[in-house]
Amino acid sequence: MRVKEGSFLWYLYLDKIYCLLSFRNVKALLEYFRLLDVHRKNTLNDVLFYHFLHYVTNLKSRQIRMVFDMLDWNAVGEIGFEEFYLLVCILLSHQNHLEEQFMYCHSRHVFRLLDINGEQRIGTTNFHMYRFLFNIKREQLREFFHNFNITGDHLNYKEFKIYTIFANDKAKEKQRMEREKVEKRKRLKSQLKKIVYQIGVCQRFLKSNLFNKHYE
Amino acid sequence: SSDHRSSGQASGHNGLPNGWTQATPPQPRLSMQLSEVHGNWGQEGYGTVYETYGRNSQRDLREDGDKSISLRDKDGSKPEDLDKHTLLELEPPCSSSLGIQLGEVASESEIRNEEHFSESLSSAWEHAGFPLYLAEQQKKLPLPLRELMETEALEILTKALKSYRSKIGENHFLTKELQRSVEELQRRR
Repeated sequence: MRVKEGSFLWYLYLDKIYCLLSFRNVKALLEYFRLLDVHRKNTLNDVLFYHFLHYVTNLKSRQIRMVFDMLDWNAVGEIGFEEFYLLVCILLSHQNHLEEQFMYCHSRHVFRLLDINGEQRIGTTNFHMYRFLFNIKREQLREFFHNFNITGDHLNYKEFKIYTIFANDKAKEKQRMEREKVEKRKRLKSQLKKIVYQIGVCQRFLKSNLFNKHYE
Repeated sequence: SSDHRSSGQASGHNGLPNGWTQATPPQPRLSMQLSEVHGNWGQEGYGTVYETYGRNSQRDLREDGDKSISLRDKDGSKPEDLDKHTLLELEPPCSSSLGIQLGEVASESEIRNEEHFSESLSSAWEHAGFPLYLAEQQKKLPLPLRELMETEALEILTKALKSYRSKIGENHFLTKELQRSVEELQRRR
Protein backbone atom coordinates (compact mmCIF):
# COMPACT_ATOMS: atom_id res chain seq x y z
CA MET A 1 0.00 0.00 0.00
CA ARG A 2 1.34 3.44 -0.95
CA VAL A 3 0.23 7.00 -0.38
CA LYS A 4 0.12 8.87 -3.69
CA GLU A 5 3.19 11.04 -4.13
CA GLY A 6 2.39 14.74 -4.20
CA SER A 7 -1.02 14.29 -2.62
CA PHE A 8 -2.00 16.32 0.42
CA LEU A 9 -1.46 13.40 2.80
CA TRP A 10 1.98 12.85 1.38
CA TYR A 11 3.06 16.25 2.70
CA LEU A 12 1.90 15.61 6.25
CA TYR A 13 4.53 14.78 8.81
CA LEU A 14 4.03 11.90 11.24
CA ASP A 15 6.00 12.07 14.46
CA LYS A 16 8.27 9.03 14.52
CA ILE A 17 8.01 8.39 18.25
CA TYR A 18 4.32 8.94 18.97
CA CYS A 19 3.11 8.20 15.43
CA LEU A 20 0.74 11.16 15.52
CA LEU A 21 0.41 14.43 13.65
CA SER A 22 1.29 17.80 15.11
CA PHE A 23 -1.44 20.30 15.98
CA ARG A 24 -0.90 22.29 12.79
CA ASN A 25 -1.04 19.17 10.68
CA VAL A 26 -4.29 18.18 12.40
CA LYS A 27 -5.69 21.64 11.71
CA ALA A 28 -4.79 21.30 8.06
CA LEU A 29 -6.30 17.82 7.98
CA LEU A 30 -9.49 19.14 9.52
CA GLU A 31 -9.76 21.76 6.77
CA TYR A 32 -9.30 19.02 4.21
CA PHE A 33 -11.95 16.89 5.88
CA ARG A 34 -14.37 19.81 5.82
CA LEU A 35 -13.82 20.26 2.10
CA LEU A 36 -14.83 16.63 1.58
CA ASP A 37 -17.75 16.87 4.02
CA VAL A 38 -20.12 18.27 1.40
CA HIS A 39 -23.30 17.42 3.33
CA ARG A 40 -22.14 19.33 6.41
CA LYS A 41 -22.60 16.45 8.83
CA ASN A 42 -18.98 16.25 10.05
CA THR A 43 -18.86 12.80 8.48
CA LEU A 44 -17.94 11.11 5.22
CA ASN A 45 -20.28 8.55 3.78
CA ASP A 46 -19.08 5.41 2.03
CA VAL A 47 -19.04 6.93 -1.48
CA LEU A 48 -17.02 9.99 -0.48
CA PHE A 49 -14.71 7.82 1.62
CA TYR A 50 -14.20 5.39 -1.24
CA HIS A 51 -13.25 8.10 -3.72
CA PHE A 52 -10.96 9.77 -1.19
CA LEU A 53 -9.05 6.59 -0.41
CA HIS A 54 -9.01 5.55 -4.06
CA TYR A 55 -7.43 8.88 -4.95
CA VAL A 56 -4.78 9.07 -2.24
CA THR A 57 -3.68 5.42 -2.10
CA ASN A 58 -3.28 2.44 -4.41
CA LEU A 59 -5.68 0.27 -2.41
CA LYS A 60 -8.11 -1.94 -4.30
CA SER A 61 -11.89 -1.52 -4.05
CA ARG A 62 -12.25 -4.58 -1.85
CA GLN A 63 -9.59 -3.29 0.54
CA ILE A 64 -11.18 0.16 0.67
CA ARG A 65 -14.53 -1.39 1.58
CA MET A 66 -12.82 -3.43 4.32
CA VAL A 67 -11.18 -0.32 5.74
CA PHE A 68 -14.50 1.49 5.75
CA ASP A 69 -16.22 -1.40 7.56
CA MET A 70 -13.39 -1.45 10.07
CA LEU A 71 -13.66 2.28 10.82
CA ASP A 72 -17.46 2.39 10.80
CA TRP A 73 -17.50 0.65 14.16
CA ASN A 74 -21.13 1.54 14.96
CA ALA A 75 -22.35 0.62 11.45
CA VAL A 76 -24.02 3.94 10.62
CA GLY A 77 -22.55 4.11 7.13
CA GLU A 78 -20.45 7.18 7.91
CA ILE A 79 -17.14 7.94 9.54
CA GLY A 80 -16.31 11.00 11.59
CA PHE A 81 -13.15 13.06 11.84
CA GLU A 82 -11.69 10.96 14.67
CA GLU A 83 -11.76 7.81 12.57
CA PHE A 84 -10.50 9.79 9.58
CA TYR A 85 -7.55 11.08 11.61
CA LEU A 86 -6.78 7.58 12.87
CA LEU A 87 -6.83 6.27 9.32
CA VAL A 88 -4.47 9.01 8.13
CA CYS A 89 -2.04 8.13 10.94
CA ILE A 90 -2.23 4.44 9.95
CA LEU A 91 -1.57 5.31 6.29
CA LEU A 92 1.36 7.55 7.13
CA SER A 93 2.87 5.05 9.55
CA HIS A 94 2.66 2.42 6.83
CA GLN A 95 4.25 4.86 4.40
CA ASN A 96 7.11 5.46 6.83
CA HIS A 97 7.54 1.80 7.86
CA LEU A 98 6.38 2.56 11.38
CA GLU A 99 3.50 0.07 11.53
CA GLU A 100 4.90 -1.82 14.52
CA GLN A 101 5.66 1.42 16.34
CA PHE A 102 2.11 2.62 15.63
CA MET A 103 0.55 -0.60 16.93
CA TYR A 104 2.71 -0.43 20.03
CA CYS A 105 1.84 3.22 20.78
CA HIS A 106 -1.86 2.90 20.01
CA SER A 107 -2.50 -0.73 20.83
CA ARG A 108 -5.89 -0.08 22.41
CA HIS A 109 -7.22 1.70 19.30
CA VAL A 110 -5.81 -0.90 16.94
CA PHE A 111 -7.28 -3.70 19.06
CA ARG A 112 -10.72 -2.08 18.90
CA LEU A 113 -10.42 -1.71 15.13
CA LEU A 114 -9.38 -5.33 14.59
CA ASP A 115 -12.02 -6.62 17.00
CA ILE A 116 -14.62 -6.46 14.24
CA ASN A 117 -17.22 -8.55 16.07
CA GLY A 118 -16.88 -6.73 19.37
CA GLU A 119 -15.92 -9.89 21.26
CA GLN A 120 -12.94 -8.33 23.05
CA ARG A 121 -10.64 -10.68 21.17
CA ILE A 122 -9.03 -10.84 17.75
CA GLY A 123 -8.84 -13.93 15.62
CA THR A 124 -5.89 -14.76 13.39
CA THR A 125 -8.22 -14.40 10.38
CA ASN A 126 -8.70 -10.73 11.27
CA PHE A 127 -4.99 -10.29 11.52
CA HIS A 128 -4.53 -11.73 8.07
CA MET A 129 -7.39 -9.73 6.63
CA TYR A 130 -5.81 -6.44 7.66
CA ARG A 131 -2.20 -7.34 7.06
CA PHE A 132 -2.09 -4.89 4.14
CA LEU A 133 -2.67 -2.02 6.57
CA PHE A 134 -0.53 -3.03 9.50
CA ASN A 135 2.07 -5.13 7.75
CA ILE A 136 1.46 -8.08 10.07
CA LYS A 137 3.58 -11.01 8.94
CA ARG A 138 2.20 -14.54 8.99
CA GLU A 139 5.50 -16.10 10.12
CA GLN A 140 5.89 -13.54 12.86
CA LEU A 141 2.40 -14.30 14.15
CA ARG A 142 3.12 -18.01 14.11
CA GLU A 143 6.37 -17.46 15.98
CA PHE A 144 4.59 -15.31 18.52
CA PHE A 145 1.89 -17.92 19.12
CA HIS A 146 4.55 -20.57 19.51
CA ASN A 147 6.93 -18.59 21.79
CA PHE A 148 4.24 -17.32 24.09
CA ASN A 149 2.27 -20.57 24.23
CA ILE A 150 -0.91 -18.94 23.01
CA THR A 151 -3.55 -21.63 22.73
CA GLY A 152 -6.41 -21.33 20.34
CA ASP A 153 -6.37 -18.77 17.56
CA HIS A 154 -7.64 -15.69 19.37
CA LEU A 155 -5.89 -12.95 21.29
CA ASN A 156 -7.33 -10.86 24.09
CA TYR A 157 -6.09 -7.33 24.69
CA LYS A 158 -3.21 -8.26 27.01
CA GLU A 159 -1.92 -10.87 24.58
CA PHE A 160 -2.30 -8.41 21.75
CA LYS A 161 -0.32 -5.81 23.70
CA ILE A 162 2.47 -8.36 24.23
CA TYR A 163 2.34 -9.09 20.50
CA THR A 164 2.83 -5.38 19.71
CA ILE A 165 5.88 -5.26 22.03
CA PHE A 166 7.24 -8.40 20.40
CA ALA A 167 6.64 -7.08 16.87
CA ASN A 168 8.12 -3.66 17.72
CA ASP A 169 11.26 -5.27 19.17
CA LYS A 170 11.63 -7.41 16.08
CA ALA A 171 11.22 -4.41 13.81
CA LYS A 172 13.83 -2.40 15.75
CA GLU A 173 16.20 -5.37 15.70
CA LYS A 174 15.75 -5.64 11.94
CA GLN A 175 16.38 -1.91 11.47
CA ARG A 176 19.49 -2.13 13.65
CA MET A 177 20.85 -5.04 11.62
CA GLU A 178 20.18 -3.22 8.37
CA ARG A 179 21.96 -0.14 9.69
CA GLU A 180 24.94 -2.28 10.73
CA LYS A 181 25.04 -3.89 7.29
CA VAL A 182 25.09 -0.49 5.63
CA GLU A 183 27.83 0.72 7.95
CA LYS A 184 29.88 -2.42 7.35
CA ARG A 185 29.58 -1.95 3.62
CA LYS A 186 30.69 1.67 3.95
CA ARG A 187 33.70 0.65 6.06
CA LEU A 188 34.68 -2.06 3.57
CA LYS A 189 34.42 0.42 0.71
CA SER A 190 36.62 2.97 2.44
CA GLN A 191 39.18 0.24 3.33
CA LEU A 192 39.24 -0.97 -0.26
CA LYS A 193 39.79 2.57 -1.44
CA LYS A 194 42.75 2.95 0.93
CA ILE A 195 44.30 -0.31 -0.24
CA VAL A 196 43.90 0.62 -3.90
CA TYR A 197 45.46 4.01 -3.19
CA GLN A 198 48.42 2.44 -1.39
CA ILE A 199 48.97 -0.04 -4.23
CA GLY A 200 48.96 2.87 -6.65
CA VAL A 201 51.52 4.75 -4.60
CA CYS A 202 53.80 1.69 -4.39
CA GLN A 203 53.58 1.10 -8.12
CA ARG A 204 54.52 4.69 -8.89
CA PHE A 205 57.41 4.47 -6.45
CA LEU A 206 58.72 1.27 -8.02
CA LYS A 207 58.38 2.66 -11.54
CA SER A 208 60.30 5.80 -10.69
CA ASN A 209 63.06 3.72 -9.00
CA LEU A 210 63.43 1.45 -12.01
CA PHE A 211 63.48 4.48 -14.30
CA ASN A 212 66.27 6.10 -12.26
CA LYS A 213 68.30 2.90 -12.13
CA HIS A 214 67.98 2.47 -15.88
CA TYR A 215 69.40 5.91 -16.51
CA GLU A 216 72.17 5.38 -14.01
CA SER B 1 10.84 6.93 3.01
CA SER B 2 11.02 10.20 4.93
CA ASP B 3 13.58 11.54 2.45
CA HIS B 4 10.80 12.80 0.16
CA ARG B 5 9.84 15.33 2.76
CA SER B 6 13.22 17.05 2.68
CA SER B 7 13.31 17.05 -1.09
CA GLY B 8 9.66 17.62 -1.80
CA GLN B 9 9.00 20.65 0.35
CA ALA B 10 10.56 23.60 2.04
CA SER B 11 11.61 22.48 5.45
CA GLY B 12 9.35 23.18 8.35
CA HIS B 13 9.61 21.11 11.44
CA ASN B 14 5.89 20.55 11.39
CA GLY B 15 6.02 19.25 7.85
CA LEU B 16 4.01 22.00 6.25
CA PRO B 17 5.55 24.18 3.61
CA ASN B 18 7.20 27.30 4.89
CA GLY B 19 4.21 29.53 4.33
CA TRP B 20 3.83 29.98 8.07
CA THR B 21 5.38 33.21 9.17
CA GLN B 22 5.62 34.59 12.65
CA ALA B 23 4.92 38.11 13.80
CA THR B 24 4.67 40.06 17.03
CA PRO B 25 5.13 43.76 17.42
CA PRO B 26 7.28 44.98 20.33
CA GLN B 27 4.53 45.04 22.94
CA PRO B 28 5.90 47.17 25.79
CA ARG B 29 6.47 50.05 23.38
CA LEU B 30 2.98 49.63 22.00
CA SER B 31 1.30 49.97 25.37
CA MET B 32 3.38 53.06 26.09
CA GLN B 33 2.41 54.60 22.79
CA LEU B 34 -1.26 53.83 23.36
CA SER B 35 -1.40 55.91 26.54
CA GLU B 36 0.61 58.71 24.91
CA VAL B 37 -1.69 58.85 21.95
CA HIS B 38 -4.79 58.73 24.09
CA GLY B 39 -3.45 61.60 26.18
CA ASN B 40 -2.37 63.65 23.14
CA TRP B 41 -5.58 63.36 21.24
CA GLY B 42 -7.92 64.33 24.00
CA GLN B 43 -10.75 63.24 21.77
CA GLU B 44 -12.46 60.38 23.44
CA GLY B 45 -14.16 59.03 20.36
CA TYR B 46 -11.04 58.43 18.38
CA GLY B 47 -9.00 57.61 21.44
CA THR B 48 -11.50 55.00 22.57
CA VAL B 49 -11.71 53.39 19.16
CA TYR B 50 -7.96 53.51 18.83
CA GLU B 51 -7.37 52.14 22.32
CA THR B 52 -9.94 49.38 21.97
CA TYR B 53 -8.63 48.38 18.59
CA GLY B 54 -5.06 48.51 19.81
CA ARG B 55 -5.87 46.42 22.87
CA ASN B 56 -7.75 43.84 20.84
CA SER B 57 -4.98 43.48 18.33
CA GLN B 58 -2.45 43.19 21.14
CA ARG B 59 -4.52 40.52 22.86
CA ASP B 60 -5.05 38.57 19.65
CA LEU B 61 -1.39 38.63 18.88
CA ARG B 62 -0.47 37.56 22.40
CA GLU B 63 -2.91 34.67 22.30
CA ASP B 64 -1.17 33.16 19.30
CA GLY B 65 1.93 32.24 21.23
CA ASP B 66 4.45 31.38 18.54
CA LYS B 67 5.05 34.72 16.84
CA SER B 68 8.03 37.01 16.66
CA ILE B 69 9.02 39.82 14.40
CA SER B 70 11.05 42.87 15.10
CA LEU B 71 9.78 45.94 13.36
CA ARG B 72 13.09 47.63 14.12
CA ASP B 73 14.86 44.91 12.19
CA LYS B 74 12.32 45.19 9.42
CA ASP B 75 12.46 48.96 8.98
CA GLY B 76 15.92 49.76 10.22
CA SER B 77 14.38 53.02 11.49
CA LYS B 78 15.36 55.31 14.33
CA PRO B 79 13.67 54.96 17.73
CA GLU B 80 11.63 58.15 17.33
CA ASP B 81 10.44 57.02 13.91
CA LEU B 82 9.66 53.61 15.30
CA ASP B 83 7.34 55.19 17.83
CA LYS B 84 5.37 56.65 14.98
CA HIS B 85 5.47 53.29 13.22
CA THR B 86 4.15 51.47 16.22
CA LEU B 87 1.45 54.09 16.63
CA LEU B 88 0.34 53.75 13.08
CA GLU B 89 0.43 49.97 12.87
CA LEU B 90 -2.42 49.69 15.36
CA GLU B 91 -4.69 51.67 13.14
CA PRO B 92 -7.35 49.83 11.14
CA PRO B 93 -6.04 49.66 7.60
CA CYS B 94 -9.32 50.60 5.93
CA SER B 95 -10.05 53.78 7.86
CA SER B 96 -8.48 56.43 5.64
CA SER B 97 -10.24 59.37 7.30
CA LEU B 98 -8.99 58.26 10.68
CA GLY B 99 -5.59 57.92 9.15
CA ILE B 100 -5.64 61.47 7.84
CA GLN B 101 -6.69 62.76 11.26
CA LEU B 102 -4.03 60.65 12.88
CA GLY B 103 -1.51 62.19 10.56
CA GLU B 104 -2.74 65.63 11.49
CA VAL B 105 -2.66 64.91 15.21
CA ALA B 106 0.72 63.28 14.93
CA SER B 107 2.19 66.21 13.04
CA GLU B 108 0.72 68.61 15.64
CA SER B 109 1.99 66.59 18.57
CA GLU B 110 5.44 65.78 17.09
CA ILE B 111 7.46 69.04 16.86
CA ARG B 112 10.83 67.64 15.75
CA ASN B 113 11.64 65.83 12.44
CA GLU B 114 8.52 66.76 10.51
CA GLU B 115 10.22 65.97 7.23
CA HIS B 116 11.23 62.56 8.47
CA PHE B 117 7.75 62.03 9.76
CA SER B 118 6.08 62.68 6.43
CA GLU B 119 8.50 60.29 4.74
CA SER B 120 8.06 57.63 7.34
CA LEU B 121 4.30 58.17 7.30
CA SER B 122 4.00 56.91 3.75
CA SER B 123 6.19 53.88 4.45
CA ALA B 124 4.47 53.30 7.76
CA TRP B 125 1.13 53.23 6.00
CA GLU B 126 2.39 50.25 4.07
CA HIS B 127 3.22 48.48 7.31
CA ALA B 128 0.17 49.67 9.19
CA GLY B 129 -1.97 46.70 8.24
CA PHE B 130 0.89 44.26 7.90
CA PRO B 131 1.02 42.81 11.45
CA LEU B 132 -2.75 42.64 11.49
CA TYR B 133 -2.71 40.88 8.16
CA LEU B 134 -0.10 38.48 9.49
CA ALA B 135 -2.12 37.84 12.63
CA GLU B 136 -5.12 36.97 10.52
CA GLN B 137 -3.06 34.81 8.20
CA GLN B 138 -1.67 32.89 11.19
CA LYS B 139 -5.10 31.39 11.68
CA LYS B 140 -5.40 30.43 8.03
CA LEU B 141 -3.57 27.81 6.06
CA PRO B 142 -0.71 28.81 3.77
CA LEU B 143 -1.94 29.49 0.25
CA PRO B 144 0.01 26.76 -1.59
CA LEU B 145 -1.32 24.15 0.83
CA ARG B 146 -4.85 25.42 0.52
CA GLU B 147 -4.62 25.31 -3.25
CA LEU B 148 -3.33 21.74 -3.13
CA MET B 149 -6.17 20.73 -0.81
CA GLU B 150 -8.82 22.37 -2.96
CA THR B 151 -7.47 20.88 -6.19
CA GLU B 152 -7.41 17.43 -4.67
CA ALA B 153 -10.84 17.80 -3.05
CA LEU B 154 -12.26 18.97 -6.38
CA GLU B 155 -10.98 15.89 -8.18
CA ILE B 156 -12.29 13.55 -5.48
CA LEU B 157 -15.69 15.25 -5.34
CA THR B 158 -16.05 15.31 -9.13
CA LYS B 159 -15.64 11.54 -9.21
CA ALA B 160 -17.99 11.17 -6.26
CA LEU B 161 -20.57 13.27 -8.13
CA LYS B 162 -20.48 10.81 -11.04
CA SER B 163 -21.12 7.95 -8.59
CA TYR B 164 -23.99 9.86 -6.97
CA ARG B 165 -25.57 10.55 -10.35
CA SER B 166 -25.32 6.94 -11.44
CA LYS B 167 -26.53 5.49 -8.12
CA ILE B 168 -29.15 7.87 -6.77
CA GLY B 169 -29.89 10.05 -9.78
CA GLU B 170 -29.40 13.70 -10.62
CA ASN B 171 -32.46 15.02 -8.83
CA HIS B 172 -31.67 13.61 -5.41
CA PHE B 173 -30.99 16.31 -2.82
CA LEU B 174 -27.63 14.73 -1.90
CA THR B 175 -26.52 14.91 -5.53
CA LYS B 176 -27.56 18.55 -5.67
CA GLU B 177 -25.65 19.32 -2.47
CA LEU B 178 -22.54 17.68 -3.84
CA GLN B 179 -22.97 19.47 -7.15
CA ARG B 180 -23.17 22.82 -5.36
CA SER B 181 -19.93 22.07 -3.48
CA VAL B 182 -18.18 21.07 -6.69
CA GLU B 183 -19.34 24.24 -8.43
CA GLU B 184 -18.17 26.35 -5.50
CA LEU B 185 -14.73 24.76 -5.60
CA GLN B 186 -14.55 25.25 -9.36
CA ARG B 187 -15.39 28.93 -8.93
CA ARG B 188 -12.54 29.31 -6.45
CA ARG B 189 -9.94 27.84 -8.82
